Amino acid sequence: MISVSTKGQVFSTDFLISAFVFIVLLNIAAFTYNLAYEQQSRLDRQRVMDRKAFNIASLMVRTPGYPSNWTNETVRIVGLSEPDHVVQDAKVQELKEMTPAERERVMDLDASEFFLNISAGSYAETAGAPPSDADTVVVDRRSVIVNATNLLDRGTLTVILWR
Amino acid sequence: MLSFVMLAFTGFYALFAQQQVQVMEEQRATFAEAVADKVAFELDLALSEGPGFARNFTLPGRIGTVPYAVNVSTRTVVVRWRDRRAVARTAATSIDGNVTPGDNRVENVGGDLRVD
Repeated sequence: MISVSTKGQVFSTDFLISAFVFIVLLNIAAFTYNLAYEQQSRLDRQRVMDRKAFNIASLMVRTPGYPSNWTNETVRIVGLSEPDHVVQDAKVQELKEMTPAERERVMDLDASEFFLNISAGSYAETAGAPPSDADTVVVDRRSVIVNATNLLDRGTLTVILWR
Repeated sequence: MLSFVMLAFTGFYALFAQQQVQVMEEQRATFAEAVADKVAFELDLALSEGPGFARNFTLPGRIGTVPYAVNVSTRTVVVRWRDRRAVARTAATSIDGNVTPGDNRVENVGGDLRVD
């Protein structure tokens, strides 16, 4: 007599439940991994922008730029200070004359937007576009002395990059 | 059951491994970009500080575990590793000497840049 046993059937309810749980767990793992990856990528992009803002601000407050008597037409490196940390208003005005495309080219902004704010007592100048609807904003702030007509005062130079 | 689980697991593992390779490559690219930016900054600083300026700077020995080379040509710093490259802009048109992984010294000699 031949008997048929149901033991060892592949498609049982137990199997379907365990397969479902297994696939759900794998999907959770994949989702978590992708989330961590996106956060890491965003942090990496922010670090790149942080470093860029630091470099731009350092060149502005430490050097007169290149050539040292640069204008908005001849500039190759944007430096605003002469001597070290004494920001010259004449160069700030030249920087304001530069177009966004010129600033992007000279400062190698890599698709980031640039905003500069210099304030010292009654002196206040800005250049570029302030952050608006930005994903990432990085700020580098330096203490400076501003030298303008009838003014020599302590103040702050702030470089903001955003995108 | 076991073979189904193994198959699904192998599929997911292959997917993760592929993503991991991509993540590491992107991290290397970001790191190389950082190296290129650093070299460009050091050259620009030396150029705009003027004659007589000298400064030491150190670059990482490798990008991750991969050796790399730095080349400075007309207003461009290029970092090459494997068959890839990262680029940064500089105001320097040329330098005397080579920028290498490890310790470097940049000098502004009469308006020209020298790197040892």
